[in-house]
Amino acid sequence: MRDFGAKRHHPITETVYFLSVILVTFFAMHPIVTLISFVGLLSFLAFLRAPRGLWREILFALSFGALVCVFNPLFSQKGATALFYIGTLKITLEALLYGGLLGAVLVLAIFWFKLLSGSLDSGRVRALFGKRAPRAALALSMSLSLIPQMRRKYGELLRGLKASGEYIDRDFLSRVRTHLKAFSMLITWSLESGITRADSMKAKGYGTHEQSFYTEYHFGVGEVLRLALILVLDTAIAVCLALGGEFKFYPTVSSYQFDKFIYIGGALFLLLCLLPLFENLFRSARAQKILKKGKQNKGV
Amino acid sequence: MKQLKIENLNFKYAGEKSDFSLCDVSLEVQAGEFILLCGQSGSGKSTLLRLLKPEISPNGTQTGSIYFNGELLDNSTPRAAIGMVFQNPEDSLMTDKVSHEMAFSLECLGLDASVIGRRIAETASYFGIDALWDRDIHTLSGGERQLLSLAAALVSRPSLLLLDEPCSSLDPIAAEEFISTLKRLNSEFGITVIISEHRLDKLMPISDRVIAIENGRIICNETPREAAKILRNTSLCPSLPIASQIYFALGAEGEDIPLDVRECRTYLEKKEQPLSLARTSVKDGGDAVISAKNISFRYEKSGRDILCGLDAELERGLFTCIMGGNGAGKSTLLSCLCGLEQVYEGKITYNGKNIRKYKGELWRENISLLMQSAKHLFSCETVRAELMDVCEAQGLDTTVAEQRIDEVSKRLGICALLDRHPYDLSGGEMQKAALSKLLLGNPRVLLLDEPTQGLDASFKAELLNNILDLCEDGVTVIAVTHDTELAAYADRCMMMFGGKLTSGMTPHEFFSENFYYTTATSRITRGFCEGAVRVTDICGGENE
Repeated sequence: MRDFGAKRHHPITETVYFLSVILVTFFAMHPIVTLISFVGLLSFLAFLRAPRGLWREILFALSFGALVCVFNPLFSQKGATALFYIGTLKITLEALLYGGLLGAVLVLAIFWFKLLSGSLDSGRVRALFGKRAPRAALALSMSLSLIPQMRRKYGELLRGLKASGEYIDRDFLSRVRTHLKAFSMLITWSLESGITRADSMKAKGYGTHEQSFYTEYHFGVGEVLRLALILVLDTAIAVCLALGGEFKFYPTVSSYQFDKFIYIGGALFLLLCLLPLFENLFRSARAQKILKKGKQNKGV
Repeated sequence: MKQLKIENLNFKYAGEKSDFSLCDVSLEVQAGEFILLCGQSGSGKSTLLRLLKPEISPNGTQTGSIYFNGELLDNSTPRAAIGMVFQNPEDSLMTDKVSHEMAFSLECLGLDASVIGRRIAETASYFGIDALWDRDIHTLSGGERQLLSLAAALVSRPSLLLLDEPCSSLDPIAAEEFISTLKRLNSEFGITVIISEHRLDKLMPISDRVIAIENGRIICNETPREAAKILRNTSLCPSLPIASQIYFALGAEGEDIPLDVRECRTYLEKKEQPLSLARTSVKDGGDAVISAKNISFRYEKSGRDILCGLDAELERGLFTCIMGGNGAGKSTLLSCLCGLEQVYEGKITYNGKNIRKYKGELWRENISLLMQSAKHLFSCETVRAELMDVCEAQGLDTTVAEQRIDEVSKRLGICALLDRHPYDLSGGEMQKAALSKLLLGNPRVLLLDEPTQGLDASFKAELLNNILDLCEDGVTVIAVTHDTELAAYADRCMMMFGGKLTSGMTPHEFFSENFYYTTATSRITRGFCEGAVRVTDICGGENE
């Protein structure tokens, strides 16, 4: 269940999907939409794929949201229901609620972006840009391979310096000097290895022909349909939310009247948010059915 | 079919005044041959291989001609026809994903995406790297990387494959796997293989022909058995398989020179004279200079224990070798012993005092560690400047420093290298330069991490002499290694397994008790001469 469709979908549809969820959440600024977006996010975290280490960031994200929630009333004096005063500053319930919504939207956007970046590894980024700019895609791929390599090398050099006794941990200045030394060693090494790398590239025939482009992601009919579905949903949601009107916090929250278009838009947005979950459920249900049938056949 | 023909090839590097790097090289290669190219570092092996791949042929003057499939080899020769694998997989892989690395050379040839997809799929399946498919390249092990380099070179379907010391950065097990893959390619697809290597013991028995180069000239171009006979009287003799060396040590003369363990055992069986064991003295160690009691270590909080309740007593003034499989934690142990990593349980003492109580003074004059990557610890223009830099960092006077540098470089025999750029040195020379930097600090304990990896036989012998020489002066040397031939010359051998270390034994006890994890000599002479673990242990029988 966890590893659903990550390899199945083309990076373009994936990107469009996540961007639409983020944009709707962000521009609607409506409690219902925010709630639905939260439900969708939960479905991803619980059932689908959550990038490793995401859970650890929840605390940070929540405190960030809380901060926004607390700070908004300090800057916004609007709202009818005064809770208390700090000096001459009026803290209103409406401003607090608005801050809460703003914080929630920001936190949600952060998490959805994390999911997007988690689903776009370098191979998928290459697939996004590669055909139009193969050289840039190659440069990206090469630098992505160099960064971890150089980082590891730097650590190795530093440890090597330390263990060979060249590292002197006397004071701040000597530590800086050691780092500078390791850095200059890193530069020397990378220049040397760059020569080998260039040779290896030439040996593989780089620059002899027009560079073609390969990606394992295929933008087939299914992907086109999925993209179309996402875009249709996007449009419908946008129209409904526009017709439904803005959520008004001021002067009081309770004076706001919910429009029926909000409910329709919300339902459509829920569909969009849970789309991957539905797809996944559908897929595994079908697989289970086939498996069951297979077992029965074997039994006969 | 004659695939490759070289006629009177001479080559001189641009800027080189007098010496030709290759002199009068003529040879022919039939399609489907497996050719081993050997020679000492700097003999011209790499130059020859690079000249066979026009895109990367070095800059210089070349006379004579090279024909590939009957046509002159130049830039118009199809790129895909000749594949090349380089020495260091770290530098020769250029992308970040396994799948992209495989596709890269086909992209360069401008093939259609659907063709590329099909080709890389079948190649990956053949090499069994489909399990690595989605991995980032920087997470692969050395052996996996080199296998990927090979697969990436073969995806464009070359008919000639050139390999420049591909195993020198691999441990013996990964190297053996690599070589057997290569042999399989050669016999199943008839791909011509030309491989340069200094580890001859695995390659010689499976090669069709051995070409040896010395100072740019071909000194031998024969079948392996003939080659062993010719190379017996050259500087390459120590690189020959142990089986052949035992044959020579017994003073045998003949045509049936054994190349592997089985052949040598057959030879010994036929031989009537019994073997006898040369006596070697066992060195007694002093007290324990470093002792570890019940130490445990892990890299991550919830990770597995790399060291797990390990005990060790390392005796003063002895050369101790620690062996063990890949990922057994050998290098980690060294890092812990010198205080680079902190154990979370147990105690390590140096001269009876907990190493945590030492501040900066634990390193340099007490313990020094030569890492595998020490070869890259250079930033200056010359070796001398590099050594001077270390002295300055230690606060030595210029005159004292010069004296020290002189002393150390004489000891290691690197006087001639002092004015060269560190990166222009060969692997063995680089290691010596790195070792000299350590010795400037006069360490009492020297830790070495895989010191013989990638060294040719002569550098190995030199390293061993240097180690034994240091031990004579009372320095304790501890090496972790895969190299059983090095460990056979140690004073104590230990084995690491399951996060623990066995107690020290002399190499004679250790290797003659082991059945599988032992030296080639021990495997050959088992049953004929018990307790022999190195070539010099065996006498022909006439002397006691």
